[in-house]
Amino acid sequence: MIPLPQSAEVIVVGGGIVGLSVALALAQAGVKPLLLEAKSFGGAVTGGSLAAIGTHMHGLAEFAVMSHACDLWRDLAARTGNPFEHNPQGQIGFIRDDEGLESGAAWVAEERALGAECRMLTPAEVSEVEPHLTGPLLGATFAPDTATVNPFLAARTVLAEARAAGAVALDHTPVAALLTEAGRINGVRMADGTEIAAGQVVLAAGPWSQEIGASVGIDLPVVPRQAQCLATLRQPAGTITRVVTAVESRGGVASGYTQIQQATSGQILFNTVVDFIDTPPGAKDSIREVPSGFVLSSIDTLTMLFPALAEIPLLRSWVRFEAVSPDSRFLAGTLERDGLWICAGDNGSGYCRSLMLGRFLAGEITGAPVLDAALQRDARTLYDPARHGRAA
Amino acid sequence: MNTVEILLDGHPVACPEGLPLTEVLMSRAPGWRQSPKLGAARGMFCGMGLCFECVVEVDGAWSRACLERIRAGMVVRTARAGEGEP
Repeated sequence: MIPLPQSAEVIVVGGGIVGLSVALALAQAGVKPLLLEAKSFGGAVTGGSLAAIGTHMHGLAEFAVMSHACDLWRDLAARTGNPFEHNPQGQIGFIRDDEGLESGAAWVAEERALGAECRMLTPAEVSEVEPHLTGPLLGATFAPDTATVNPFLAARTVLAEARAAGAVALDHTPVAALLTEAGRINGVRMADGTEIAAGQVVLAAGPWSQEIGASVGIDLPVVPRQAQCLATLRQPAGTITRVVTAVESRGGVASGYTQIQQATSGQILFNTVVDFIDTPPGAKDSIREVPSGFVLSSIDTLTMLFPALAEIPLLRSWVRFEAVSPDSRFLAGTLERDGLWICAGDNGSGYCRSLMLGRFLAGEITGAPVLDAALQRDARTLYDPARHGRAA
Repeated sequence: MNTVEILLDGHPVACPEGLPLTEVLMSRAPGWRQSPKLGAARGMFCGMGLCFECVVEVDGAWSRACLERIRAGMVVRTARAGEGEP
């Protein structure tokens, strides 16, 4: 085992895609970060993700930063030879009723006004864009630039890039608490009692950020939410070519969601969430089974949309815990202890934002922004941890 | 590495502290994972906490063996507990 360093300029707590992206951006900015992951890199929320990279139906306020976030993934794929299955396959938002038609048309009109290439599809056009999507639809939205990445391989790529740029990243090194002195952060205490000194600490531990922040009396408005997914046995390539999602309601109504896609391996990954599951305290630290109602409604939705897939065998299911904030946006920025930063609150779509947030936060920490000035300003407002009147 | 003792399916086993639990299971609990048809021994699958293929009981709670490191005194039970000394 590698001995723990006694000190670091910046410590990043959490080795999911967000923490890895922060470490990469810091290393590229010339800071030598120490990243500490409690278990395996990307082994919690990140690896359980469906890793969609796109701007469609994410809200207009974030459109500019999200567009840039998507560009960063495309650029990383190009620069590294795409070892992580970045696939700009496009996204279909299926529509089953008049309300959905209205929502879909509104999303498309507003996003197009901002320069997106999305458009509406008629049922006939849907079957051209996705041949096996033959269920009873009134139409669909289509965002041709939405991509996916393989969440395991992308996390490993960002880890390798961060290390090559000078970051030290250690797994199976759980942080138990933050250390402060005279109101400012001065390091972390590990689960085994070892202390590591640092002038700056970034909390990037997803749904675990709350309890680590609580160690210095900071009450972060981030709670864990159970999310789950299913995978089928491998199917022939091209069985499903796009990311297929439900069109989300407008106006902040939680309407549940569906996401269906075929991985490069051939497995079909899918879920349908109608009711969010009550997440009891401690659930994220135990092994949870996927509820049977979720499995049944997910299968119903898959076979309603893709009748040809009715007989395919399920391979596995899994649960992950997303970090949810009150307004479904990340908290990224400074907290009320000097030297303490946060980058958490994925709300189920952290993958897309991670590289952008890493750069944003590295700019805030070093005082030398990497993002262009307008995006840095946007991000500072959008993700301000103090906006909920708690925690900062 | 220090050598410590754990309890594996009721039997004391000495192993290096900090070693991945899966490593011990592969060498000392050959029935821990088996192929469904032939019953052939199998190792880890994903190795990073996601496939749940390596779930065993650690200190009374389900746990993914690939995310566990050997600690002195940990009590590990596989699905093959009671079938002889590991």
